[in-house]
Amino acid sequence: MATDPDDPGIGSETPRREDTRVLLGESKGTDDIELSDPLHAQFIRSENAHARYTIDAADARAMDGVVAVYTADDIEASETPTPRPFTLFAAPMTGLDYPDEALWQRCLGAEKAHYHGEILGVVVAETQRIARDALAAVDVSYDTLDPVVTPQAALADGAPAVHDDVPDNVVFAGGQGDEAATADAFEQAAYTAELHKDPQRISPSPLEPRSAIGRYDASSGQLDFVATTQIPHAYRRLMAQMLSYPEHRIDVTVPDMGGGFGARQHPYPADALVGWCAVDLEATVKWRSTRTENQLVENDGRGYEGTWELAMDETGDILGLRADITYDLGAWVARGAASLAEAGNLLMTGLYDIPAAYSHVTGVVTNTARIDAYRGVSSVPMIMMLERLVSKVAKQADMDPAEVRKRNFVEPDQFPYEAAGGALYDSGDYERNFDLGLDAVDYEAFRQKQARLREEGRYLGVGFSCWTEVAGLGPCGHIDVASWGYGSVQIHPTGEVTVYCGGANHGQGHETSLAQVAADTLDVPYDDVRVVENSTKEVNEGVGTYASRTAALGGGAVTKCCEKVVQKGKAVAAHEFGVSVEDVTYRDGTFATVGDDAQSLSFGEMASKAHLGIDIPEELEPGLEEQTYYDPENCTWPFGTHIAVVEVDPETGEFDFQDYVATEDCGVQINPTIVEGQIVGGIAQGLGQALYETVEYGDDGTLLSDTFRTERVGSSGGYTLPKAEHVPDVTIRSTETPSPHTPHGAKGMGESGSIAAPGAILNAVEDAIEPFDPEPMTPPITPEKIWRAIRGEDA
Amino acid sequence: MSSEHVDVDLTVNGEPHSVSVEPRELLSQTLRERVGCTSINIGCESTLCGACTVHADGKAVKSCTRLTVQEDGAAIQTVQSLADDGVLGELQTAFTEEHALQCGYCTPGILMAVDEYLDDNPDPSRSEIRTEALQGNLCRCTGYENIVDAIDVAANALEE
Repeated sequence: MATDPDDPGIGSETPRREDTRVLLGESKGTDDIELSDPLHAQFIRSENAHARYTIDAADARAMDGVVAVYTADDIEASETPTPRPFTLFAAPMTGLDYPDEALWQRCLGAEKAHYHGEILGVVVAETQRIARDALAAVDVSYDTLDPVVTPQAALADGAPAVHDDVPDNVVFAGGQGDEAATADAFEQAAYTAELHKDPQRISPSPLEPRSAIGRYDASSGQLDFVATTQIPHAYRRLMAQMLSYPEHRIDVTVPDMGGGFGARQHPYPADALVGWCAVDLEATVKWRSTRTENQLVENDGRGYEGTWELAMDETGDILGLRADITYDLGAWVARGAASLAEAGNLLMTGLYDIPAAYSHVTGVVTNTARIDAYRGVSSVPMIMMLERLVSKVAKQADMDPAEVRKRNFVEPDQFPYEAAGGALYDSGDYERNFDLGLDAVDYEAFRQKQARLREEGRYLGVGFSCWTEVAGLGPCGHIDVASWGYGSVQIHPTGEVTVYCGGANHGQGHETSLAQVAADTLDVPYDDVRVVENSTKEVNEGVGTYASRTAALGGGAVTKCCEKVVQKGKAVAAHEFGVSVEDVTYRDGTFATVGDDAQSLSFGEMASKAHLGIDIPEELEPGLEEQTYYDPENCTWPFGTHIAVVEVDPETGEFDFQDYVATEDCGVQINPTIVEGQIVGGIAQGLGQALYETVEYGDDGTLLSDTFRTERVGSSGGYTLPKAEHVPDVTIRSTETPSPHTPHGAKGMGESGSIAAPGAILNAVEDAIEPFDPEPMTPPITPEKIWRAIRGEDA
Repeated sequence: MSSEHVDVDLTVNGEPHSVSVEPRELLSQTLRERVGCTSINIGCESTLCGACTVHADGKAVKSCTRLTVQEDGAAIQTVQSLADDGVLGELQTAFTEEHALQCGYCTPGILMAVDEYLDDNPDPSRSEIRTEALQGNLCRCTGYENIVDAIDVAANALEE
């Protein structure tokens, strides 16, 4: 392992290569790309959640500089093929009927509008300002229908149907785990705890609003996209399907992108329509969303409602977990909604050896924007509710919540461990990791201090949240979507290296970390390695960056390519030395004869020979370039514990963080600085879920949280992102349990904070006010809710 | 809406620019579209995220909600003014060394806001950095701690 700061390999905390261009103001996002004579698209979007409508665009069409206004009918009438509905990729939960094509997301609400913000038409003009002015001149008349805004409303008797084809609004319903065994566990329990405080719907809110450029070249038939997406290659595939366009004539480039967090791991109707307009007009068409547009239609996350229950025996052994969930899918069912629910169910028992578990999920449509992937995805509600239940049942049994956790952890000798929900955990030592956290907060001393201060009328609390996630997604066959890691490595005749990876870098530092992996594996200088991602033009294939997959799968693919390079290098060197391959070693950038180092060849000399191809073994082809589609045996399962320590003012309900400790294990860390950045950044998003963020719809289905604001929740309107003053400093401790099946032992670490922080913070606040015997609170918890809970009111 | 244009003179990072703009045109639009300053990022169009922060006559302002016509004669500085011929300044250096950026969309605006703040407050506490220096800026990636560290480090380096 190279840890020399001047020659960074795996484990080095080297600063990121990506930073300089940003700091100099030279990074380029999609909206920053210079284009010659682009046209500008703006979308006519529904102002109602559920309505039939008519569009009068005569005034807009007559405006100077307006090139076209397309309604659904105009698009249908064009010779350019009408964009097809989004194709679902992911497989359903076992045994479930999956929604049929009627529910795949349409690019336009043709027969009616299904949610506030749905696209009803497109305006294309010579400048963005003319397009916006023209948009204001489009007259849309609505005949409103009763909307369904919440999952409960969707399931109510006589509820309006979001789609005429689905009169009961239920898209799928089914369970995972063993229902009968779980019922038995609850029969035998000495203690049971129940929660129905719902993990609320929140918005990923990357800071850069979405945008897309479609460039159609009539002479070559080439359709190029520049877009804000986490999945350039899959985006290409989907555009080909949606636009009925040959895939080999589409390319996709992702410039610097201001965040994704899962919300950009699939394209949107706007992307397809930008491409459609480019083809239809034989032009370059650009669209850049406003913040409000972004909040209206970019997918939200969570949206779980239901009941979660935990059963424990008198000794503190957890016997069973049960959940009955209604999952709000929004108006259209896009890419793999049911498999997102499945992923959460897989790990619903968290880090605990719980013999029986059963989760039933009912997916319903509502007249709201789509719910889909957001950092942590369905692990967030499942872990949040599990961790709240463990603390609650411990309190009911008058047991220490840390002791109950330690008593129930999966033990190191149980791996690979098959969890009751179906996950196969790869490796871990949960208790050792947990104990690091207890030490960091000095747990025993804290409990004494807590008791002492309570006598003085001060209320401190500690909250635990133990987490895992489905990372490094994943083996082909795990889900019905390509999920390998693509990489190729080109060795130049000079010995310099270009690494091509199928991920999409947008803040994770792949240009740095994947160069560390290659430099380490090839034993070449870090500065001799360049990493290329984010482009179908430069990288042949890829699956994209999401689900904490690039460290394990991108890094794994790069490692495998580099290992193949070294193998070929040994053959070239053996030929040169006149010995067999087994008699050649490779270390410190030099091939040499075993034992005596009598003959040697530098990496660069070998590369030059391989490239020239004259003096190499007959069975070898010239050149030095290796490629892999790395298909791992399993997903990876990083884990850890977050511990929040707070003090609540019972007079006001305000509270302060006294401490926040995250103990983490993501296997081998390629760049610990980047890992810590992911942890702290994720915690801020989890803290947002616990304390500040909520997507608010009015009773009529109008999105109220359609702009940012900086106040706490409480009044209506606006979406509150945590600010610097809201987030505590975090103490991080790490253990390292290498993944047994990734080539370099990395597991991935992108989502711990958003998964673990909500439970840790909620448990800490409820522990602080435990003397008041409060009812559990519903996130996001405000000082007002805490104040109410202290006074025995529902909050 | 008026199509009447107004002539406005700006100095941007030391270079004079004469532009003819609609009265409704925003400073952020003029700087991005007419002057080519694409380091100015538009995250919210409502003065909340701070990604568009520039200096106007030495004062940090959010260019997304200033009209260009208000700035006639102003000296504007963007993040491109902080480096010296491609060599990062103290604050920029601290940002990379402390890993204070991930996607980087908020970074230029934060640098400009903090650059002005440190002029008036050369020795802020960590709490002041959180509540004052970063009061007008949002970051969705970092969780802020490394940004606080970087500002702390830069303030100390600048004091020496």
